[in-house]
Amino acid sequence: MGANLQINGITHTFGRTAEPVLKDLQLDITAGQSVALIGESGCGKSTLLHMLAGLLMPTEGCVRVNGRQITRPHADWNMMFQRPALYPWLSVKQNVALGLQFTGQKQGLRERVREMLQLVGLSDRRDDRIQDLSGGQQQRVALARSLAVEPQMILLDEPFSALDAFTRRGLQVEVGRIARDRGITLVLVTHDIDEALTMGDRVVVMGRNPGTFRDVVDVPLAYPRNPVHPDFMRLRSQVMARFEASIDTPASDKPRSDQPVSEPTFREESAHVQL
Amino acid sequence: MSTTETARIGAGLPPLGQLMRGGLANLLYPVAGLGLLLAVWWYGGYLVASNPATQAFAGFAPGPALSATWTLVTSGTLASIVMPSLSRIGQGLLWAVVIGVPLGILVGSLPFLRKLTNFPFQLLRMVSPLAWMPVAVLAFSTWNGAIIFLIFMASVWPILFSTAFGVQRIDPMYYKVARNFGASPLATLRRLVVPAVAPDMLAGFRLALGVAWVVLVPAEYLGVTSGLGYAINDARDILAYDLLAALVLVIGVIGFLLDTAVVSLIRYFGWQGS
Repeated sequence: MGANLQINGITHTFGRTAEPVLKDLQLDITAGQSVALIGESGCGKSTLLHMLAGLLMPTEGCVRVNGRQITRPHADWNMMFQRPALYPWLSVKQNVALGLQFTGQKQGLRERVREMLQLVGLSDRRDDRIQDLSGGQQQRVALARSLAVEPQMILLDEPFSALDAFTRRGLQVEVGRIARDRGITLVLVTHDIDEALTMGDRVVVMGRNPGTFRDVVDVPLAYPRNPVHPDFMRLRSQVMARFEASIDTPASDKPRSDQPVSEPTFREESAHVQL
Repeated sequence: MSTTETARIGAGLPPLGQLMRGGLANLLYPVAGLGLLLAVWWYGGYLVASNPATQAFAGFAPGPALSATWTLVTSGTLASIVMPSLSRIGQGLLWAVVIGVPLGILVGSLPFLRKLTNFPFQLLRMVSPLAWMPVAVLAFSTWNGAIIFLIFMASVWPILFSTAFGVQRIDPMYYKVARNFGASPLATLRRLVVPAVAPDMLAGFRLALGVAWVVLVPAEYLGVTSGLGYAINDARDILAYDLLAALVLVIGVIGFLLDTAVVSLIRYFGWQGS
């Protein structure tokens, strides 16, 4: 079962006198939905994701999961990082079991690990050393590690950016499918518009100085999505245009971010896209 | 099985001759090194024995020394000499691990503690362990306790500094992963910090063992009536130079075996560079 996520008026400042890096962010994400955050480097996407994970507390506002305010990290909403950060002294299966061990779940641990390795297609590598796996396989192990604790929400911080194009595409499709099958809410931070459109039910465009939600584009395409399909390409152009507009226009000229970001105008536009 | 199949399977394996050559090459250097040492020892013994001025020390030569070693082993005397020394080394190292590892983890984890302790620890580390001898004699009610304290003082620093260094080298992302799963500090210590620093900790332990073994013999000159240091002193007093040489040989062999055991542990628990 996925988590309902509410981002309630988040503003964040690093240090006492600095300008806010994030300002007045509002967004609701329903259970099982997949949302991609895109924006320029430094717009605060990763900072926001760390807040959703409970790894960082906002200066103002709060994040709620199923109505409960996030005050600390929890296995129910865990994060997949750009680097898989697997522990090199552990084998593949031991790394998958790590989240369960950290949370003290001993019962059925072996079966759970076996199931997760099967899910990510690494059953035959269970006893291997991490160093012997490719980058894509290591990210699969990290995915299995995240899934093993049965999270309600997974937060992806550019987890495929270091991989080659084929591996990246394969993992985008696979992670999306697994999350949908299990009803897990996904929040993805990426610089790659194709990745955002491949995985997201919605794409949120962020601007910077300070980081705000500038636009939200619904992606009403069926899964698995084909990047060369005309509808996909049309949406890519739309998102690209919004993204470029968010770069060119100062934050003050943009719609206020305390307005609902899923404005009807965006929904109406995206509704024109034929499946 | 066809000849082709046999040839194909055989192609994946190194030929027997190659394996034997590899094994022989691995043995050749250690055996040659030991042979060289024995030759130098023998020649030294020959020079000592052939000079009337030094003839009294002929017992140092390989012949008498090896004969005395054999007698030590077969008579059961060796065990009674070695065991007290091993016990002291074990206790000294145990205290060094019990105090050095947690302190090393704290020093490695807490920057303020690292800054606070750097100067005093470096200062204490540079004091020769044997310089603590008078303090040890005053502070401990038994000679045994004083010796264990000296071994502790010799071995705690390598363990502490290596552990602290290992903690500082832990990839911050590993901590992030642990926090991400809501790991408790105890779980983080158990599942992350201890295994991550194990190779550095064991490398420090190996250094500590070497220093402790070196300090052991002079430390056992202190009051006690057992152990390798006492036995060497005793052999010197009774002019039994063959026994003295045999004991030196025993110290070297045991030290080498202990070091080999720790190297095996490092290989077993080590993950760096694998």
